[in-house]
Amino acid sequence: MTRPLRRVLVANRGEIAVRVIRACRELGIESVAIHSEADAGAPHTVLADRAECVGPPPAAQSYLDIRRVIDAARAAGADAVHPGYGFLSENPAFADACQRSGLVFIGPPAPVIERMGSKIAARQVAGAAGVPVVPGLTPADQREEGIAGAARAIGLPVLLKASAGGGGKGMRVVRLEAELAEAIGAARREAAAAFGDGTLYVERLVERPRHVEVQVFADTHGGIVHLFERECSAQRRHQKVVEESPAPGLPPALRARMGEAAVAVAREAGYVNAGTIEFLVEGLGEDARFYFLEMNTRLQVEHPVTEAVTGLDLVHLQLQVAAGAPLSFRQEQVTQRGHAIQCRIYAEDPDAGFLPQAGRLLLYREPDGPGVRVDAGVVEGSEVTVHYDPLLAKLIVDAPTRAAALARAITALRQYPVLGIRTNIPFLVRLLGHPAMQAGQIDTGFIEREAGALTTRPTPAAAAMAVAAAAAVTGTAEQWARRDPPARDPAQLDPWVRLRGWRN
Amino acid sequence: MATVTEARVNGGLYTVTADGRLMRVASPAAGAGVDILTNYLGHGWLLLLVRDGVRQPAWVAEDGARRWVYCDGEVTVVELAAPAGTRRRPAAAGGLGRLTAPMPASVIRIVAAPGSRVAHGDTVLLLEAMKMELPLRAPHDAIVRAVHCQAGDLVQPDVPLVDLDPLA
Repeated sequence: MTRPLRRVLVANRGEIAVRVIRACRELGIESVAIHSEADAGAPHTVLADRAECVGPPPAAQSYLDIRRVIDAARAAGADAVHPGYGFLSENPAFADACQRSGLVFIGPPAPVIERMGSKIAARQVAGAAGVPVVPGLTPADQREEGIAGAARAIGLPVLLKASAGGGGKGMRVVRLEAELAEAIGAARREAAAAFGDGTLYVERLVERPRHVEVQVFADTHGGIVHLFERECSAQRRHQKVVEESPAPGLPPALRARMGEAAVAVAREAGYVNAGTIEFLVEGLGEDARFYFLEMNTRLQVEHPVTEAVTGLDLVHLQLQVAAGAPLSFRQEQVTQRGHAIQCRIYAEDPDAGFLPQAGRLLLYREPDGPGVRVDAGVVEGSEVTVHYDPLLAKLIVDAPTRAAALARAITALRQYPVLGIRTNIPFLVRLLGHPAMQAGQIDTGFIEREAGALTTRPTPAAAAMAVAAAAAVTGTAEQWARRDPPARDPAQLDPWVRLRGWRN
Repeated sequence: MATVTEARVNGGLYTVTADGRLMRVASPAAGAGVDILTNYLGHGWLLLLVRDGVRQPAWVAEDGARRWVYCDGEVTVVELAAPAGTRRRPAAAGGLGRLTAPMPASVIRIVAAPGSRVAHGDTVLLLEAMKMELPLRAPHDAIVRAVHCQAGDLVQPDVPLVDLDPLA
């Protein structure tokens, strides 16, 4: 039975809110943005058909406040809620509150979020589906002694994680007994701050693993497909930086088994809508093994690389499935074509320990061209505040081969000036040019190990100093503007680009 | 008609010869001059460096006496000499005996109360920004003299948060 969605409240901010609002518009669905007082002029707020303020800048009093978000949906007359990723997207209480308020939650049912959000229950589901898991547990005794005891029982090194969420928040590697106490305290505080739940999970640390995940999609009629894998091994502090599809060097037989395993887990979980099964891959070539890591019961930050290689629009699919429509294609009709790479553009200074940066974007110009997509939550002049995640935008490129995609990504990054605050763009240029990245041979510890080479800012080039000198004597920008009409970016000098929107 | 102007960038002296859009920038340190074509972008500059006839774009944004430059995949921030009569920005308030936030942040917890003794590397104050914990650590063994913030405060960089009395 289908029930067309008429008006969707997007319970998020930044690039993903913009992404979902655009998709709604394309499908003739009205969109409602929510925003904090700090985001009243933010792109997602401006773009939506309607906007509701949900509170002061701190996320806990606005984007994370279930009652305020539900009230906003009611006030705006929404009939459905898209949670995006992060914030309330994996909070079963929120999905439940939506349902009880007569709102369609665009995602899986609350009990499925709850089960797959619990690392213990998710592992049981994976086990029941016949998929291998990494040894680990959530200690019943959550006091420091209990967590430390579990870490010793599993054997160091271990990984401490927030039981309630992902994204690297509340995650700590512990290699030495002496580090346990401080790591437990820090992981618990970060977990509590990010997810409102300080419960910790302790897991055996797999050394030099690759992080490969499989996108799944399920409708409400029993149809389940996988949309191939994404390689997400380029991480710093357990936060993904670069994602790609296909995963380089993954043996075809292993890829096929992982796809089947992902569908089996989703089926066992009673899954509906977009989800991701994360795997750790240990070893190389034919000896490689994979373990179920966890399931993300939402759309992922890196979904665009899957869109690029499959030609599917995942947000459109989410909206259609949420309206009760069956998937319009079968597994054997889905193909993985070409190669796609996503770079996350963060407001952070890699040369200062990836410290988050706040301030105004004095100059912000996005690259474009064939095979180049930018999903951004900011525009020139945007003020980046300390209240939210430092993800500014995502650059997604696709090309027929991995080598061509890497070259396209580097070219685009070099045409992506973001000035006024430090970003990781220069770091990304260095990372994509690194021989190990070029060879497709990196594991999740690569960035940490190579941090020295990747994060060292070179001494200012003579050219950069000369450029500054030239800009210094041309007077202020306003004086120059009066003197001559503004010129354009090189990309915009090409008449075929400039006449974008014309058809011939 | 060409005009010649001098500019001081990061303390180095540059001679800029401008003729319409074309500029030649020379410095004693950098040796031969660099030719630059200037274009105004609206809130910033797109400059084309011309070397042996080959052009390379560079973007520049104004930020008070600073210039942000994006060129060749790297961001460079330079300081122009302050015009006569203006005062230079005071040095960062952080110093041997003071701890400051590296960026705007909120205070999660005061770890070391006034009067307590801290060792080199001990966390004195726990800040949070963008969902990341930022511990402020003692740069040396010290006694905490005063704490100028409390949990929940939103603090700005370069403002003293903790005064320390170094222990010899």
